[in-house]
Amino acid sequence: MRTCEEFAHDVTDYIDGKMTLGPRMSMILHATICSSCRAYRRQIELVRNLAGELKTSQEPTEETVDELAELFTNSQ
Amino acid sequence: MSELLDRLKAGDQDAFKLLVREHHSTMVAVATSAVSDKGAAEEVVQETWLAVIKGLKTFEGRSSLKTWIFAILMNQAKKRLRTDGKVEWVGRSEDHDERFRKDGHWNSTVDAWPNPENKAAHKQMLDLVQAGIESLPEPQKLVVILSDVEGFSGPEVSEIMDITKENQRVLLYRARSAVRDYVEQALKEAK
Ligand SMILES: [Zn+2]
Repeated sequence: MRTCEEFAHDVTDYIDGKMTLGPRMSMILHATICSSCRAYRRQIELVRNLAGELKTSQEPTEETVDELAELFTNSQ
Repeated sequence: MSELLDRLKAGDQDAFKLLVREHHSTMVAVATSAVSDKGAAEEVVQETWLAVIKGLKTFEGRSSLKTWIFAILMNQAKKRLRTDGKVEWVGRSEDHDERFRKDGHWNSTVDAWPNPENKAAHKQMLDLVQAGIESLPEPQKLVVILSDVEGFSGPEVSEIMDITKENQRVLLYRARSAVRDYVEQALKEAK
């Protein structure tokens, strides 16, 4: 049986879907009997998802694009 | 080799503009996190574009164009940190995790966070996560920004930062738990 410490250390791989079936099953089993680890998993998942919302979606200004494009063309 | 790369090698300016539009803002965000200074970050990005322009002719496409560009960015940032006399970021070895007892159980139980029910609560959590990320030491901050904020894959992050896959994995785990701890602390203090 997996301990809470082992659960916590693998939770990043678990929520990213990077675990093979065996370890994954033992994570699921541990979570069914341990409310602390269930809460912890949800928190880490929330942190990851919220971090994704922080991505800057803005594009550079046309001025920046033109300046760099000019550098590019002048170097040819 | 990709069509875009062929066009870039041929000196197609529109292709280069595409590249700038796609990556420039992310480069600024990552550089800002790496050197912790907006002005220095802009110079790092500028230097990176110059290096990209120079290197395109000989770039063989062994890694993706994107990974290659961000690896250059990281090298420019490291160079910058050296010339500024700041300490370069290095990975630290694993300490004992004090959140657990010797038998591997939590020292104290983990309580679920309240569900962010409305926009204001969601925004509050988002701000806490952002502040938590800001508070991280390098290179944890960079790993979480590249992985979770900017969406790079694990292998891409290890290539860009020139660290092993295992190191990348450990850093990401520590970064996420530290941000989680930061949020937990802030929620407790708000009570
Ligand atoms: Zn547990």
